[in-house]
Amino acid sequence: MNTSEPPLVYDPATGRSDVFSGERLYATVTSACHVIGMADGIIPETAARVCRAIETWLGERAEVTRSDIRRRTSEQLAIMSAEAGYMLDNKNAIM
Amino acid sequence: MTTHESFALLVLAAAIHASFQLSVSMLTILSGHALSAKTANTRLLGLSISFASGVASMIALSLALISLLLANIFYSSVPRIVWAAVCGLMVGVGVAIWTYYYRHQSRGTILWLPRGFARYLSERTKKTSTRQESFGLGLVSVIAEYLFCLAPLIVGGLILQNLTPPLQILGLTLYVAIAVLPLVVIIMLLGSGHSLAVIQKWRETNKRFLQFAAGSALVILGGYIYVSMVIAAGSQGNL
Repeated sequence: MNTSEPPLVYDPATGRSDVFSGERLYATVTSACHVIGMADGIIPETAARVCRAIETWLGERAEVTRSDIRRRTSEQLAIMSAEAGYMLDNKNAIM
Repeated sequence: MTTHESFALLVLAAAIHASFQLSVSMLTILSGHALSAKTANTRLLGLSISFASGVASMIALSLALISLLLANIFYSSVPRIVWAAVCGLMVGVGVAIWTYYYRHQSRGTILWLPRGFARYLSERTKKTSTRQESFGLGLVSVIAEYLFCLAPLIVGGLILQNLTPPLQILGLTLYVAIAVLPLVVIIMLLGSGHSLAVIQKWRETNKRFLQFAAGSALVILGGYIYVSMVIAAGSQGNL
Protein backbone atom coordinates (compact mmCIF):
# COMPACT_ATOMS: atom_id res chain seq x y z
CA MET A 1 0.00 0.00 0.00
CA ASN A 2 1.23 3.50 -0.84
CA THR A 3 0.71 5.48 2.38
CA SER A 4 1.34 8.86 0.69
CA GLU A 5 -2.00 8.63 -1.12
CA PRO A 6 -5.11 9.58 0.85
CA PRO A 7 -7.33 6.55 1.56
CA LEU A 8 -10.69 5.98 -0.10
CA VAL A 9 -13.87 6.46 1.92
CA TYR A 10 -16.66 4.06 0.96
CA ASP A 11 -20.26 5.18 1.44
CA PRO A 12 -22.58 2.11 1.62
CA ALA A 13 -25.65 4.35 1.10
CA THR A 14 -24.52 5.49 -2.35
CA GLY A 15 -22.13 2.63 -3.15
CA ARG A 16 -19.43 5.15 -4.10
CA SER A 17 -15.88 5.66 -2.85
CA ASP A 18 -14.41 9.15 -2.51
CA VAL A 19 -10.94 10.32 -1.57
CA PHE A 20 -10.66 11.24 2.13
CA SER A 21 -10.87 14.99 2.69
CA GLY A 22 -9.18 16.45 5.77
CA GLU A 23 -10.93 19.80 5.26
CA ARG A 24 -14.33 18.14 5.29
CA LEU A 25 -13.49 16.27 8.50
CA TYR A 26 -12.28 19.51 10.10
CA ALA A 27 -15.55 21.24 9.14
CA THR A 28 -17.61 18.35 10.55
CA VAL A 29 -15.78 18.39 13.88
CA THR A 30 -16.04 22.18 14.07
CA SER A 31 -19.81 21.97 13.47
CA ALA A 32 -20.23 19.40 16.25
CA CYS A 33 -18.33 21.69 18.62
CA HIS A 34 -20.56 24.65 17.69
CA VAL A 35 -23.73 22.58 18.28
CA ILE A 36 -22.89 22.03 21.94
CA GLY A 37 -21.86 25.66 22.42
CA MET A 38 -18.12 25.07 22.93
CA ALA A 39 -16.10 28.26 23.35
CA ASP A 40 -14.88 29.58 19.98
CA GLY A 41 -11.32 29.91 21.25
CA ILE A 42 -10.76 26.19 21.78
CA ILE A 43 -12.62 24.84 18.75
CA PRO A 44 -9.74 25.15 16.19
CA GLU A 45 -7.29 23.36 18.50
CA THR A 46 -9.84 20.65 19.33
CA ALA A 47 -10.69 20.09 15.65
CA ALA A 48 -7.01 20.04 14.66
CA ARG A 49 -6.19 17.44 17.35
CA VAL A 50 -9.05 15.19 16.27
CA CYS A 51 -8.08 15.51 12.58
CA ARG A 52 -4.43 14.63 13.39
CA ALA A 53 -5.56 11.53 15.31
CA ILE A 54 -7.82 10.43 12.45
CA GLU A 55 -5.14 11.01 9.80
CA THR A 56 -2.70 8.90 11.85
CA TRP A 57 -5.28 6.14 12.10
CA LEU A 58 -6.06 6.35 8.38
CA GLY A 59 -2.36 6.05 7.52
CA GLU A 60 -2.59 2.31 8.13
CA ARG A 61 -5.60 1.77 5.86
CA ALA A 62 -6.29 1.84 2.10
CA GLU A 63 -10.08 2.04 2.30
CA VAL A 64 -12.52 2.70 5.13
CA THR A 65 -16.26 3.24 5.34
CA ARG A 66 -17.90 6.55 6.18
CA SER A 67 -19.30 5.05 9.39
CA ASP A 68 -15.78 3.89 10.43
CA ILE A 69 -14.59 7.48 10.18
CA ARG A 70 -17.64 8.82 12.02
CA ARG A 71 -17.23 6.30 14.85
CA ARG A 72 -13.50 6.91 15.19
CA THR A 73 -13.90 10.69 15.00
CA SER A 74 -16.63 10.74 17.63
CA GLU A 75 -14.45 8.59 19.92
CA GLN A 76 -11.56 11.01 19.54
CA LEU A 77 -13.78 14.05 19.98
CA ALA A 78 -15.42 12.52 23.07
CA ILE A 79 -11.98 12.50 24.76
CA MET A 80 -12.05 16.31 24.64
CA SER A 81 -15.82 16.87 24.86
CA ALA A 82 -18.21 14.00 25.60
CA GLU A 83 -21.20 16.04 24.44
CA ALA A 84 -19.65 16.99 21.10
CA GLY A 85 -18.59 13.37 20.54
CA TYR A 86 -22.11 12.21 21.31
CA MET A 87 -23.69 14.72 18.91
CA LEU A 88 -21.29 13.75 16.13
CA ASP A 89 -21.95 10.05 16.66
CA ASN A 90 -25.72 10.60 16.62
CA LYS A 91 -25.80 13.16 13.83
CA ASN A 92 -27.81 10.86 11.56
CA ALA A 93 -29.70 9.08 14.31
CA ILE A 94 -32.05 11.83 15.46
CA MET A 95 -35.05 11.03 13.24
CA MET B 1 -70.15 11.70 29.53
CA THR B 2 -69.85 14.57 32.04
CA THR B 3 -67.85 17.73 31.27
CA HIS B 4 -65.19 16.79 33.80
CA GLU B 5 -64.86 13.34 32.28
CA SER B 6 -64.67 14.85 28.79
CA PHE B 7 -61.84 17.19 29.81
CA ALA B 8 -59.97 14.41 31.60
CA LEU B 9 -60.08 12.25 28.44
CA LEU B 10 -59.12 15.24 26.29
CA VAL B 11 -56.07 15.87 28.49
CA LEU B 12 -55.05 12.19 28.22
CA ALA B 13 -55.49 12.22 24.41
CA ALA B 14 -53.40 15.42 24.20
CA ALA B 15 -50.71 13.91 26.45
CA ILE B 16 -50.53 10.88 24.13
CA HIS B 17 -50.20 13.25 21.16
CA ALA B 18 -47.42 15.12 23.01
CA SER B 19 -45.42 11.90 23.37
CA PHE B 20 -45.05 11.52 19.59
CA GLN B 21 -41.54 12.42 18.54
CA LEU B 22 -41.41 13.44 14.88
CA SER B 23 -41.88 17.17 15.54
CA VAL B 24 -39.39 17.01 18.42
CA SER B 25 -36.84 15.26 16.18
CA MET B 26 -37.29 17.87 13.47
CA LEU B 27 -36.92 20.70 15.99
CA THR B 28 -33.72 19.04 17.29
CA ILE B 29 -32.29 18.84 13.76
CA LEU B 30 -33.37 22.41 13.01
CA SER B 31 -31.72 23.73 16.18
CA GLY B 32 -28.60 21.60 15.71
CA HIS B 33 -28.10 22.80 12.16
CA ALA B 34 -28.67 26.43 13.12
CA LEU B 35 -26.19 26.13 16.01
CA SER B 36 -23.54 24.45 13.83
CA ALA B 37 -23.89 27.30 11.33
CA LYS B 38 -23.35 29.75 14.21
CA THR B 39 -26.79 31.30 13.76
CA ALA B 40 -27.56 34.11 16.19
CA ASN B 41 -29.62 33.08 19.22
CA THR B 42 -32.48 35.45 18.37
CA ARG B 43 -32.69 33.98 14.87
CA LEU B 44 -32.61 30.43 16.23
CA LEU B 45 -35.37 31.36 18.69
CA GLY B 46 -37.42 32.85 15.84
CA LEU B 47 -37.04 29.70 13.73
CA SER B 48 -37.95 27.46 16.66
CA ILE B 49 -41.01 29.51 17.65
CA SER B 50 -42.19 29.57 14.01
CA PHE B 51 -41.79 25.79 13.87
CA ALA B 52 -43.78 25.30 17.09
CA SER B 53 -46.45 27.72 15.79
CA GLY B 54 -46.73 25.63 12.63
CA VAL B 55 -47.16 22.47 14.67
CA ALA B 56 -49.77 24.14 16.92
CA SER B 57 -51.67 25.51 13.90
CA MET B 58 -51.82 22.14 12.14
CA ILE B 59 -52.94 20.33 15.30
CA ALA B 60 -55.66 22.95 15.88
CA LEU B 61 -56.80 22.79 12.24
CA SER B 62 -56.82 18.98 12.20
CA LEU B 63 -58.75 18.75 15.46
CA ALA B 64 -61.26 21.41 14.39
CA LEU B 65 -61.73 19.70 11.00
CA ILE B 66 -62.30 16.27 12.55
CA SER B 67 -64.73 17.74 15.08
CA LEU B 68 -66.61 19.62 12.34
CA LEU B 69 -66.84 16.54 10.12
CA LEU B 70 -68.13 14.42 13.00
CA ALA B 71 -70.67 17.09 13.97
CA ASN B 72 -71.95 17.24 10.39
CA ILE B 73 -72.11 13.48 9.92
CA PHE B 74 -73.70 12.66 13.31
CA TYR B 75 -76.06 15.52 14.14
CA SER B 76 -77.39 14.48 17.54
CA SER B 77 -75.10 11.82 19.01
CA VAL B 78 -72.31 9.58 17.81
CA PRO B 79 -73.51 5.97 17.31
CA ARG B 80 -71.96 3.27 19.48
CA ILE B 81 -70.56 1.53 16.43
CA VAL B 82 -68.39 4.60 15.71
CA TRP B 83 -67.12 4.68 19.28
CA ALA B 84 -66.35 0.96 19.00
CA ALA B 85 -64.45 1.51 15.73
CA VAL B 86 -62.45 4.34 17.31
CA CYS B 87 -61.62 2.10 20.29
CA GLY B 88 -60.36 -0.54 17.85
CA LEU B 89 -58.25 2.08 16.07
CA MET B 90 -56.74 3.22 19.39
CA VAL B 91 -55.86 -0.30 20.50
CA GLY B 92 -54.37 -1.02 17.06
CA VAL B 93 -52.29 2.15 17.03
CA GLY B 94 -51.24 1.50 20.64
CA VAL B 95 -49.92 -1.96 19.71
CA ALA B 96 -48.24 -0.47 16.59
CA ILE B 97 -46.46 2.06 18.83
CA TRP B 98 -45.23 -0.72 21.13
CA THR B 99 -44.05 -2.69 18.11
CA TYR B 100 -42.32 -0.28 15.78
CA TYR B 101 -42.50 3.40 16.78
CA TYR B 102 -38.72 3.36 17.27
CA ARG B 103 -36.65 1.11 15.02
CA HIS B 104 -35.43 -2.10 16.67
CA GLN B 105 -31.80 -2.19 17.81
CA SER B 106 -31.13 1.25 16.38
CA ARG B 107 -28.95 3.82 18.05
CA GLY B 108 -30.16 7.32 18.79
CA THR B 109 -33.85 8.09 18.32
CA ILE B 110 -34.46 6.67 14.84
CA LEU B 111 -38.21 6.59 14.17
CA TRP B 112 -40.46 4.26 12.18
CA LEU B 113 -40.36 6.49 9.07
CA PRO B 114 -39.15 4.97 5.77
CA ARG B 115 -35.46 5.94 5.52
CA GLY B 116 -35.84 7.78 2.21
CA PHE B 117 -38.61 9.96 3.63
CA ALA B 118 -36.68 10.55 6.87
CA ARG B 119 -33.63 11.64 4.85
CA TYR B 120 -35.79 13.98 2.78
CA LEU B 121 -37.34 15.56 5.92
CA SER B 122 -33.91 15.83 7.53
CA GLU B 123 -32.38 17.53 4.46
CA ARG B 124 -35.40 19.84 4.13
CA THR B 125 -35.07 20.76 7.82
CA LYS B 126 -31.37 21.57 7.40
CA LYS B 127 -32.13 23.85 4.43
CA THR B 128 -34.68 25.83 6.41
CA SER B 129 -33.43 29.37 6.87
CA THR B 130 -36.51 31.60 7.12
CA ARG B 131 -39.36 31.72 9.62
CA GLN B 132 -41.95 31.09 6.90
CA GLU B 133 -40.17 27.89 5.85
CA SER B 134 -39.90 26.87 9.49
CA PHE B 135 -43.65 27.44 9.99
CA GLY B 136 -44.39 25.29 6.93
CA LEU B 137 -42.06 22.60 8.24
CA GLY B 138 -44.04 22.56 11.50
CA LEU B 139 -47.27 22.04 9.54
CA VAL B 140 -45.71 19.17 7.57
CA SER B 141 -44.32 17.46 10.67
CA VAL B 142 -47.87 16.92 12.01
CA ILE B 143 -49.18 15.63 8.65
CA ALA B 144 -46.21 13.25 8.33
CA GLU B 145 -47.16 11.63 11.63
CA TYR B 146 -50.91 11.30 10.94
CA LEU B 147 -50.49 7.52 10.93
CA PHE B 148 -50.09 7.69 14.72
CA CYS B 149 -51.58 11.00 15.82
CA LEU B 150 -54.92 10.56 14.03
CA ALA B 151 -56.06 8.24 16.84
CA PRO B 152 -55.82 10.82 19.67
CA LEU B 153 -57.04 13.55 17.28
CA ILE B 154 -60.22 11.56 16.46
CA VAL B 155 -60.84 10.94 20.17
CA GLY B 156 -60.34 14.66 20.78
CA GLY B 157 -62.77 15.45 17.95
CA LEU B 158 -65.41 13.08 19.31
CA ILE B 159 -65.11 14.56 22.79
CA LEU B 160 -65.17 18.17 21.56
CA GLN B 161 -68.28 17.46 19.52
CA ASN B 162 -70.21 16.67 22.72
CA LEU B 163 -69.29 19.97 24.41
CA THR B 164 -70.95 23.39 24.20
CA PRO B 165 -69.28 25.92 21.82
CA PRO B 166 -67.41 27.91 24.54
CA LEU B 167 -66.14 24.66 26.07
CA GLN B 168 -65.17 23.41 22.60
CA ILE B 169 -62.85 26.40 22.17
CA LEU B 170 -61.44 25.83 25.66
CA GLY B 171 -60.97 22.13 24.90
CA LEU B 172 -59.29 22.83 21.55
CA THR B 173 -56.91 25.32 23.17
CA LEU B 174 -56.12 22.90 26.01
CA TYR B 175 -55.42 20.03 23.59
CA VAL B 176 -53.10 22.16 21.42
CA ALA B 177 -51.30 23.61 24.47
CA ILE B 178 -50.58 20.14 25.87
CA ALA B 179 -49.63 18.63 22.49
CA VAL B 180 -46.98 21.31 21.79
CA LEU B 181 -45.65 21.34 25.37
CA PRO B 182 -42.53 19.23 24.56
CA LEU B 183 -41.56 21.70 21.81
CA VAL B 184 -42.08 24.66 24.16
CA VAL B 185 -39.93 22.98 26.83
CA ILE B 186 -37.12 22.30 24.32
CA ILE B 187 -37.23 25.90 23.05
CA MET B 188 -37.07 27.18 26.63
CA LEU B 189 -34.18 24.85 27.50
CA LEU B 190 -32.19 25.87 24.42
CA GLY B 191 -33.00 29.53 25.05
CA SER B 192 -31.72 29.27 28.62
CA GLY B 193 -28.38 27.86 27.46
CA HIS B 194 -28.84 24.10 27.86
CA SER B 195 -26.87 21.94 25.46
CA LEU B 196 -28.68 20.18 22.63
CA ALA B 197 -26.61 17.08 23.44
CA VAL B 198 -28.19 16.84 26.91
CA ILE B 199 -31.70 17.07 25.42
CA GLN B 200 -30.95 14.46 22.74
CA LYS B 201 -29.31 12.17 25.30
CA TRP B 202 -32.42 12.42 27.51
CA ARG B 203 -34.60 11.54 24.53
CA GLU B 204 -32.43 8.53 23.71
CA THR B 205 -32.30 7.30 27.32
CA ASN B 206 -36.07 7.55 27.78
CA LYS B 207 -37.24 6.53 24.31
CA ARG B 208 -38.41 3.05 25.34
CA PHE B 209 -40.32 4.47 28.30
CA LEU B 210 -42.03 7.08 26.09
CA GLN B 211 -42.84 4.38 23.53
CA PHE B 212 -44.32 2.09 26.19
CA ALA B 213 -46.21 4.93 27.89
CA ALA B 214 -47.74 6.25 24.64
CA GLY B 215 -48.79 2.76 23.48
CA SER B 216 -50.17 1.79 26.89
CA ALA B 217 -52.05 5.09 27.29
CA LEU B 218 -53.72 4.58 23.90
CA VAL B 219 -54.76 1.02 24.80
CA ILE B 220 -56.06 2.17 28.21
CA LEU B 221 -57.92 5.13 26.68
CA GLY B 222 -59.44 2.80 24.07
CA GLY B 223 -60.51 0.35 26.80
CA TYR B 224 -62.01 3.09 28.97
CA ILE B 225 -63.98 4.61 26.09
CA TYR B 226 -65.18 1.15 25.05
CA VAL B 227 -66.53 0.48 28.53
CA SER B 228 -68.07 3.91 29.09
CA MET B 229 -69.39 4.67 25.59
CA VAL B 230 -70.13 1.24 24.12
CA ILE B 231 -70.86 -1.25 26.92
CA ALA B 232 -72.37 1.16 29.48
CA ALA B 233 -74.39 3.04 26.83
CA GLY B 234 -75.56 -0.32 25.43
CA SER B 235 -76.72 -1.50 28.85
CA GLN B 236 -78.75 1.73 29.15
CA GLY B 237 -80.49 0.90 25.88
CA ASN B 238 -78.88 3.60 23.68
CA LEU B 239 -77.95 2.84 20.11
